[in-house]
Amino acid sequence: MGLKNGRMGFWVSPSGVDASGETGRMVLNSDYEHLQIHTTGSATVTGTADPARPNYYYYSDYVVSFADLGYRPLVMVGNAAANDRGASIPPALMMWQASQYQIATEVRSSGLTIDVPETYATDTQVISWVVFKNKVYD
Amino acid sequence: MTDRILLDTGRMIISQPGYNASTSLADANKVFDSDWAFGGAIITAGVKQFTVEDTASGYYTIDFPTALDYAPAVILNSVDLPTMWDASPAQIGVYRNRGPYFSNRGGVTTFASVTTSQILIPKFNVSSGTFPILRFPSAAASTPPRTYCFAVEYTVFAV
Repeated sequence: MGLKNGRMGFWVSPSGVDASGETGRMVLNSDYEHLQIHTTGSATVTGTADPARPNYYYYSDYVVSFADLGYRPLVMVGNAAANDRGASIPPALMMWQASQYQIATEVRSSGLTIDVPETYATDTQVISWVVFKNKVYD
Repeated sequence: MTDRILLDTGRMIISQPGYNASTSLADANKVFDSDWAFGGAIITAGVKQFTVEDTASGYYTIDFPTALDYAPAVILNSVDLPTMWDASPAQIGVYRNRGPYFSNRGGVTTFASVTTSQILIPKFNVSSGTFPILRFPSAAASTPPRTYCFAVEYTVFAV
């Protein structure tokens, strides 16, 4: 904590790493942003049987709203079978789909629109999201 | 009143409210412990759009602000940006459509690799049909000879 190469800051290094260095791995580094969670949530959604594809279920987009950050943040979105304890990130149910399909998410400064993927053999799933305060896009 | 900060030789612990900071305190009751491998620090994050060069030689690169002495963990997502065009009347919004991919910690290593100073995405031929998703930078670019682009969202962690 103090002055390092002309700048004030706070650095905490792991065992074996010199905190006064410039290139070493730090546990805490005031030069950097740190992950800050803005909001989290989850929802159980129910699908509609696809009349053209037996045993497949499709879902409406799911909209998440949160306090406007003024920029588009880092987000993580996941899903899991409805009887699971929680959702996985990266999404788990993508394996039901062709390998090219993933959860698509529109990221806005005050919300998300999650393109909920189809499921096979089950008509419900849990979707979850973590929105960080960290800016990724303008 | 609890003592919530322990600052000792080689160790710093900040405890949750109601707990005294000590080396024997359970992790669940801590806010921070310098023995933890990762304190949530982000070296850099952002998006970068690339024009596809239709060659399998070389890399598209995303440079870190400064070189490190370790190759950090990175999360990558393939994204669509408002600077792209997808045959809709207007430019599309920010739309993340694949990922996340964890590079340098397993995951889709054929998509990208990480060094101490940059992320490397192998260049590819358009006909190869592999990641990432290709778009056009404008309506004009969608007419032959076509020019493709793609964009990546990246977060580089200090671990």
